[in-house]
Amino acid sequence: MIAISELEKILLGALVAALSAYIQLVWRANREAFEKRIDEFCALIFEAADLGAEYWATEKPQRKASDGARALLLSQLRIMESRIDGLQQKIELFRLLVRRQIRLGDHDALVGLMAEFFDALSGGNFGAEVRKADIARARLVYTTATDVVAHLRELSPTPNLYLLLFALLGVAGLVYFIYGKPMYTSQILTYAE
Amino acid sequence: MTIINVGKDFSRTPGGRRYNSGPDSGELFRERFLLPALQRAVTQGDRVFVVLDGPRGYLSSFLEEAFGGLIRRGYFTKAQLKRHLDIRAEDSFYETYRRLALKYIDEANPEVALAG
Repeated sequence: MIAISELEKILLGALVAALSAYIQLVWRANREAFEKRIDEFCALIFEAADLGAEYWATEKPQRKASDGARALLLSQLRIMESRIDGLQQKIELFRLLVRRQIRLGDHDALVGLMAEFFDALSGGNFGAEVRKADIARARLVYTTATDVVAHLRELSPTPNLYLLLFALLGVAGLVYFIYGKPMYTSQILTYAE
Repeated sequence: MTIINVGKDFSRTPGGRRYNSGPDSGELFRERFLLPALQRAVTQGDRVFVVLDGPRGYLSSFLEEAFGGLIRRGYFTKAQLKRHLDIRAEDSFYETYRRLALKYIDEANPEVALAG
């Protein structure tokens, strides 16, 4: 190996430091963005779970034309049904957003847990004209929601391919600089003398 | 081979479980689309492809009534559905719903009828 001059050592050191600092910065930003998205995802799941548990814990009585309070309760329950439906779609959308950032096996497990959650949330006799309060299902909504959130909290983002490529190119450049460069400044100066 | 595209052939806004849950219920989908197509497929030794893509989403009760209901009502056995029914989600958005539909078929029991 050809010896490197002091100036080249300083430049090389600065380049390596700048490169690793940049990679670290981008990696941290990616991770923070991922964690923020997961926070929003979890908040949405618990919002749906709160609403779902309230829905299932409330009896849906038969409509009676003369009973104003009952009519109000029924309209509130119908609004809840629409909101649960909407939240379910939002949750699906968030799954799509994190899909490319997580490993295939983790995504597969997430789909399975979300299916269980959706089953508890809008399965059974959801939307039926009349139904009794179902406390067991209200509890199941929370249990399955917690399973999804626990899984989400365990996830870590897969490395960004572009960042990896950039790091590889950086390393390749350095290797070329150290081992593969045809002639160094010090050599040029030596030959000039 | 019969292809039922839920979004195109049935509704972009599927509803709840039963007829009385509102329009485009799982019961309506099962009786009007799934059942006749599957009966033909079983007779002719053919397959029915149900493509879930298209609607803005599904309620679990819709999926249970449409798919689990095929077993619960005694229309078909699980083995028949395995041979003649293929549930597809071409877009990953519908993968959870596909998984749920398969789960409902797997867990359905001919003797048990849900209230509501």
